[in-house]
Amino acid sequence: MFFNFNKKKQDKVVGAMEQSHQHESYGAIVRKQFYKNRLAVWALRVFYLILFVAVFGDFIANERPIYCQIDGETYFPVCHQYLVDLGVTNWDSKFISKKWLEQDYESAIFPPITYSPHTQDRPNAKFISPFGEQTFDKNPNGGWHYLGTERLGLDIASGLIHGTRTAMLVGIVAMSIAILIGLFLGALSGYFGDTRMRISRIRLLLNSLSVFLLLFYAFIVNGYVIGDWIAEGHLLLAIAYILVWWVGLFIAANLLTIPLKLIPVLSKKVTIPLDLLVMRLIEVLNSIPLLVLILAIVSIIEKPSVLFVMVILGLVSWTGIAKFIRSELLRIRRLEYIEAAQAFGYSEFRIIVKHALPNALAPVLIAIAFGIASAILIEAYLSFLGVGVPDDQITWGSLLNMAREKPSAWWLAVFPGTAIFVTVTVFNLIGEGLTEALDPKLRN
Amino acid sequence: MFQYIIKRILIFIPTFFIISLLIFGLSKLTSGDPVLVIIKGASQTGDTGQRADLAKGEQAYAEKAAELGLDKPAFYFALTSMAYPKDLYQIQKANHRQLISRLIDQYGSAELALAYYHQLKEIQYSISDIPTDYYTIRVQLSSNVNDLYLDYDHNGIHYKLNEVATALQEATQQDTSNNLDIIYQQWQVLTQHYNALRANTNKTALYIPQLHFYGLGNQYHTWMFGDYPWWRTVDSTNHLRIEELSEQIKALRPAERVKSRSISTLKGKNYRLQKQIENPETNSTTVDSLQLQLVSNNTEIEAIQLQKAKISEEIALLFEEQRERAKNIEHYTSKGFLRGDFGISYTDGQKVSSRITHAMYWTIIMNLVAILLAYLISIPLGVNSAKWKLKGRKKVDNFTTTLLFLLYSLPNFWIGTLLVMFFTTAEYAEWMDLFPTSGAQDLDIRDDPNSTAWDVFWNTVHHLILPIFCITYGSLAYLSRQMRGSMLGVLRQDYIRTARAKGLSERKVVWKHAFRNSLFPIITLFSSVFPRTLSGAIAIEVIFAIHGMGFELLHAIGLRDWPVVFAIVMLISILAMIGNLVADILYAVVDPRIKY
Repeated sequence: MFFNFNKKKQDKVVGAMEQSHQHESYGAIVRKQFYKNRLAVWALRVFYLILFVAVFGDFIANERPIYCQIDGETYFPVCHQYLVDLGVTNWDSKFISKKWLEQDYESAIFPPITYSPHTQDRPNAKFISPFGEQTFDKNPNGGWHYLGTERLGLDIASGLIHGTRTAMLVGIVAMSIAILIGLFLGALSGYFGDTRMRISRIRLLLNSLSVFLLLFYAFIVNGYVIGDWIAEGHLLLAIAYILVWWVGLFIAANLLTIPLKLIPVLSKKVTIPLDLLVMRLIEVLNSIPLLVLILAIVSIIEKPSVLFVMVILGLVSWTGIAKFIRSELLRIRRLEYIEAAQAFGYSEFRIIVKHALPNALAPVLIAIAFGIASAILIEAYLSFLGVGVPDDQITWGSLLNMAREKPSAWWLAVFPGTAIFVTVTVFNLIGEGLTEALDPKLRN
Repeated sequence: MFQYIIKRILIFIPTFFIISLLIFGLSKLTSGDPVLVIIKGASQTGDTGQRADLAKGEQAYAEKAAELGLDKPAFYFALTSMAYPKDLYQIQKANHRQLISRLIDQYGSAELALAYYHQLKEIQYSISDIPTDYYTIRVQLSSNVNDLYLDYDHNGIHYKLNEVATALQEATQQDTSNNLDIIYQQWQVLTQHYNALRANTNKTALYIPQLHFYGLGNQYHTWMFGDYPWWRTVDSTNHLRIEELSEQIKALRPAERVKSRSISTLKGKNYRLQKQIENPETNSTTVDSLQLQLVSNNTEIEAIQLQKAKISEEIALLFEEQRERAKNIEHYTSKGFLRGDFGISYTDGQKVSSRITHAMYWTIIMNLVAILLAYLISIPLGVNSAKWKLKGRKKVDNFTTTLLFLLYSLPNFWIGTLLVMFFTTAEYAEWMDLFPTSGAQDLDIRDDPNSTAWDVFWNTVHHLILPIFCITYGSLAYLSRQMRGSMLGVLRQDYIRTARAKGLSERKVVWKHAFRNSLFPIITLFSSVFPRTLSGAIAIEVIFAIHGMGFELLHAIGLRDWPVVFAIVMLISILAMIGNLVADILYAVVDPRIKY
């Protein structure tokens, strides 16, 4: 008897039916296919390297030594900086009064590049070529500028290393937001299609009411609160606040439905063409030249920050992911194991999240890889144009922009551009590799 | 098919309005008061702070706001809370509206907030009546009032209210002859209003939603559709006559100024004469002659004064007529975006449309050429590379696919920068200075009457080779890759095998049977390639200093010239959407398999 099954057993049955569809584990096949593509594997390795640079950038390029001994005392300034940033400790006064590179160390181990992105090496200012003459009379600790300097004597190599973190953060954060939205909308439209989303009148009514109230309470009643937060740079706080209102109103609306559903008129079901709505939305979004719109949005922000760029990019680049998820779920929802799960009387939510989505995730990786590539590219583009990224933040795009000041400083154009190009190519290659590995037609 | 096209157009319209709403919303989020920005650019008259000046300033503000259509509500309706009055938009200055709205947001009572605001305004007027002798207190008062217009934080208001009250108290005690005691009383009323506002804090109304409807006379409607219907032509006789009148007034002004100057010089002379006459050292004969001179001067002054009065009267008459005509004139703000009126630029007060049309010319030319080239090259390239793949010519195939992939990943703003660096200057070698550095044409060649159309054309081509290359190669690579994939897909199909089995030549198989079917996906790609090309061209225009829309856009962003920014964003969006529409319709026309 089905009714006597406990939850675990039910899961086992569904799982077994799932397995019966694929003799070999799906992931294993895809992995095997992916590793056959030599270029993609190399791209993956370079990606690990870029990730390493992004995470440990402070240990690769820093004006502070990793380890040093002054007046018989031992310090670990690079690590110490993290504590200072967290507000746990403070710097010794001797470090504040004198520049790091000009200290008299008894012994010190410097990072390979002895400059932070904002260190101005005055003797080597005014566009010193990597092969040009560099002077280190004043700061004997200063290392060679491997990739040259710009007008103020900032080290290009250091800027590149630290720009890696910004680029990766933009790619990853923007895509995380895009994944959240894309998964949600794509799963809904794919699983329910145009006909299967049937909800009671009262639920529809109350949910639309909650959207209206969300608009009212989050944006109009508390508009100044949110506006002030955003103006002060607390974008995340503002978003969290809006989300709290949203979730609260949503829960309230759906709880209210339960008693009201008892009234027969209100409990009559209505069909919502979810798929149509989502696809229309995607169509509209895709027909707008988003880059120009992002340019306009970002330019009106008075206190620019990369965070805004990330959030806005995330908010507009979910369409690819949603499309992939939708088409996967359109396929999966017809499979037998989903029918079995429905027959068990599982809730739709449980079926989507636990049984349908995990099998639909692999193709999304393609969209994510290409999405990260384009997010990084757009961030570089914006900072190249000097819009949306604060003036004092050094990114690959802003370094490339410096090249326009002086045509003879080739190193300012070549190296940052190469960094952008390599990163974008790596993600494109990974995306290509995934596409091939996941394509059943190309599989032998 | 007709139905299909209609359907597409029907989707186009709401998309257009969604975008226009989005951009309108953005334009409302920009900081700064547009009226003040434009007035500051236009007026050079010094403000002495008299009551008349204040009133004149406010009138000027109101007129400019009406001219820009900013005296209207923002949208057809507004969702606010019960606490906000419907006609808040009628409060003139943006920062004053902000103050009232902030106060209502804090204390929940519109009535008391407005009372506080009006009292503040009254005090501003009273301050302007203080004689200039009391300079310090006057400056202190007016700066505090100006600060209070911006302050909604309790601590700030409280501090300023107290500070000014004590200062006023001291001033009135010292000297009773000035009218500071009136201001002191007004100030106490202001403080009372503020305290009442705080005491009667009641936020319940803030949590009750309310919809206000404003009708068609709103800013969005004016911006989009204009505020006079297209079938009505504007009677311009009044406009012309008014302009003529102001010309005449302008012409009369110098004469008036000359008269008053000569009056004052004569008066100065008289003053000196008077001094000499009163001087006991001058003897009586000179006194007599001086007296005579004085009298003659006085008659002369009277004569000039008469003349001056005549001129003034004339000016007043002209003014009167101008005012009368202005009353009858039909004021309209804008013809609306849809009829090509994009508003007024903040920087120079000129029409945005006149500035953009020229920019649009270059952008459209460059992008069209680029897309055309991309299609012309990518289609044969894609077909051939698919053929190479099938024929097993691995080396050629690998080479082209890798090259196309690299081209696809190369950011075009980087390539643009490199090209400008290496091939437009002689920094690295003499022979590398192949192309001009910036602009779309040499102005001296364009303006030279001796140069023929060919010269101008070749000059332009010479300028545009690099930028068009930069715009083209990305879409070229993308399209070629897609063409290759699509061709491969078609060539694997059964009907192609049939064609081969029939003994058709490879050429016929590919170009006659496979080609057309593989082309359809490429046509739809136009809708995704075109917007990307347009936005990519922005950076290229900046790098090569071509005064297209992208260049103007960034220039305007730098100057915070929002009307230009939003007009350009709107236009680029429209261009992209039209591209979309064309691609859709083309697809329907070309592909006989599509169902309507």
